[in-house]
Amino acid sequence: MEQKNKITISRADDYRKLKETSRQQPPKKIIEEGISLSTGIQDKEKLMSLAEKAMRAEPIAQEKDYDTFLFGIAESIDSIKNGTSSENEYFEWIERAQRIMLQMSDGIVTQEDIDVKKEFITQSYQRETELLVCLALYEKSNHPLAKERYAALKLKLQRLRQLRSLLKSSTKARADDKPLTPEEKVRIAQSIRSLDEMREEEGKVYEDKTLVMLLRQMHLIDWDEVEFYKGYSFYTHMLDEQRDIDFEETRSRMLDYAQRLEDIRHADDTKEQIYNRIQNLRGIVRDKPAEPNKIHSAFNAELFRRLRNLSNEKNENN
Amino acid sequence: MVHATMNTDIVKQLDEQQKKAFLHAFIKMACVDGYFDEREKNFIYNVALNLGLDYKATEELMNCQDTKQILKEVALIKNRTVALELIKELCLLSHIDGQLSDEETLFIGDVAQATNIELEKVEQISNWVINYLILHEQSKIVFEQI
Repeated sequence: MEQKNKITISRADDYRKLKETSRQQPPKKIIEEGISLSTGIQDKEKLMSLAEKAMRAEPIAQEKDYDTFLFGIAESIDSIKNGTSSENEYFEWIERAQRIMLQMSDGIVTQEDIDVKKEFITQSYQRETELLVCLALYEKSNHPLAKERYAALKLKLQRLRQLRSLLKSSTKARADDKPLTPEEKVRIAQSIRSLDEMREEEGKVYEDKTLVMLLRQMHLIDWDEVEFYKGYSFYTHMLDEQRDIDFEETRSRMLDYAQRLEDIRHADDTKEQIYNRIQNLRGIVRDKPAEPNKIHSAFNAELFRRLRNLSNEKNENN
Repeated sequence: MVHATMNTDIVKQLDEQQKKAFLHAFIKMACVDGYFDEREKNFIYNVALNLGLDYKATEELMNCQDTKQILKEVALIKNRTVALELIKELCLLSHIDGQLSDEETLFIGDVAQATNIELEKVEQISNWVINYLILHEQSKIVFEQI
């Protein structure tokens, strides 16, 4: 027992000494000594080869991989937190914020609405901290992709702060049973439009809607509230409404008339009427002999020539 | 009631000018005898549909124009097949009321001469149209559409 303890103490002393001298020694020497201590191997050649193997398995010991290391950590943190992808997370924020805004403008602001809004804001602060950590890591790293990531993430952080600010400024802070005023509705519509602009995808053209149209589409206002909004008079509203009605009418008329033509073809004809028409077309008149291969009511070239001559004479006389 | 049966392959060949010429000719045909009744109007709307014109565009063209002007327009139709199609449709329209009046005979003949279609050919077409109408009417009885 005492022998064992002596060995243990001796080994602990050795480790302490090793620690003290390690700063002055090259890494390979330290590793050789460490291997020797742990395995008891004294053979120098064997120690050297084992040390070389161990060094190959320890890349952190080499300076040039430090940037990759920092870059890797930043990437890991960001990917763990953003879910599917960084871009998706960004669009998800916008969608959530818009939903919260609409929820808080559809009537009375309930405590539930406020709780949802608070949860989003709290999560945004947490996410901001994580983004700041990633930004610091990207900034420190000289990895070839680090600058690009840094710029993208910085923009994302900026947008997150903007989102939070929009949400705070355009929605109520406390539950309220009073309906929204027109000014409050306009503010929300403006915020939602700003979010649409933030979400602007490359190549996609967003329709330029007036605020009033936007409010109307979001069912935030009825048509009779329109006159309260700046730049949109009741007259223009009437014109719009009439244009919609005209369009609907024209459309249904165009669809209709094709159908009506079809119907008219089979209007109320009796059998007798049809027989009479056939007889008429055939030109069958019993007291006159029918000319072979010529039907009475058909176009007649001779008749045309006679009529043409008569007409020309008439014009000359006039 | 009779309806236009324009050949779609021929319609595809028509340019805008020719389409307008067709329509003007039909409108003149409908009002040449001094009466422009509902059946004739519907026939023209149907033709307009076949030509790919919409209701609004047809409405705008619905006025009786001078015969000389219309003959100038149809004279621009150099394609014989297209000209025969025009004569056929004019004959169809003329038989809507069951009678071919003198004014209608004159107009069809003038259009034929303007498009270099011989009068005997017009007679053939006219006879064919009447046979077609008889068959059309008979089908209503045979297929119990009344």
